[in-house]
Amino acid sequence: MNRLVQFTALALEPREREIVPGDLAECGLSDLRAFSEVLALIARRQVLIWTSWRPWFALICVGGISGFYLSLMFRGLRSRMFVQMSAWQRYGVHYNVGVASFRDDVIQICCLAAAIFCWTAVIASVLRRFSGRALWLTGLFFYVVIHVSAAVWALLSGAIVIRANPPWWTAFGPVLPPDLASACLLVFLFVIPILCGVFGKFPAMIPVTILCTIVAALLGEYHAHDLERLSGGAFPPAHWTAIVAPYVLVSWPVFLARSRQRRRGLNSAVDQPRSCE
Amino acid sequence: MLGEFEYLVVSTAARLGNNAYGAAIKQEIERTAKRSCSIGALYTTIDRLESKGLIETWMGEATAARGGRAKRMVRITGKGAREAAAFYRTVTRATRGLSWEVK
Repeated sequence: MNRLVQFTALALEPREREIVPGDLAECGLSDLRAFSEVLALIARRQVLIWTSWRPWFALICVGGISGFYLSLMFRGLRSRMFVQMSAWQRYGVHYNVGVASFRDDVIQICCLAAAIFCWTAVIASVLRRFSGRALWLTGLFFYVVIHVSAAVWALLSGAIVIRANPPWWTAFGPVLPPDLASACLLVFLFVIPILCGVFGKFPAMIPVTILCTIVAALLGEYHAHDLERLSGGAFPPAHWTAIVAPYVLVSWPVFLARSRQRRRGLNSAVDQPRSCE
Repeated sequence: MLGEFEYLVVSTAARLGNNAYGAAIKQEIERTAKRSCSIGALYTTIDRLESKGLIETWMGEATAARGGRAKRMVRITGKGAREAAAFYRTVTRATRGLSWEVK
């Protein structure tokens, strides 16, 4: 039995990783045939997983919708952060955005960064719960959505006009290894929280995430009204629902996780035997 | 009611008795039914039958022929035997009086 079959069998359930190569060895199949048999079994298992609604829910609603709005939030944060960083790096001064003071801008950036960290961790946790063994696919989709969707949306809406690079480069360029500062930001805001969400248990993080969401939404509303005040009414703020909607759409898995946590708490309280007095 | 391949798996496992496990069932189906039986089809069917409560499985001992790897042993439950008997009776009733000789 060659190593390729052994390696491919790692995609199976833990107990099948030993049983299936053993059966194939006993049947005396050639290495190529054994490899194709293992692949066929993996494919059947994956197809069976996708007959349930749960991975579809994880893929479309959690990975797709929340990932898209997370991508928009991250894009906004990255541009504001890099403006301040490059101004400080090149000229030794902070960049006055003309709307909020430097202090307000830093506070908003920090709150948004904390919120993105928490959202990513909770979304990754919800993704794991609903995906099951399809996590590798829903997780990959979530990663691609985070990195690509904001750029694609900006292209389609005309916010980005391509002159030098071809459209595919602008759309998919962010998937490729970025520069060092962006890489650090990606690691701290996505890689670490995704690992925390997938492999860790953090019920205490849900209240913190809800708090971060509320603060980030209030600061977004404040920023919009500040812009109107300083522009003398030239830039009226959008309706509050339009300002709050992206925060709701990015953070709804947090409330889903909270409701599941409460339900589990109620069930365990019911299951616990009552002491006899 | 059982499907055709499910019936093949159940009846083969019943015939093999204490020696019913993945590779043995696969080889026996290929020998008796004269058709190829992939590991993928066999294991997804075994999982389905187990979830219906028609068979039960457990880890068996390892042998040298398998490179020292364990087996997944299969045993028919009472419910599985009743379902297989019902399938057999249905097929027997449905084909009574028929001749499938090709003219």
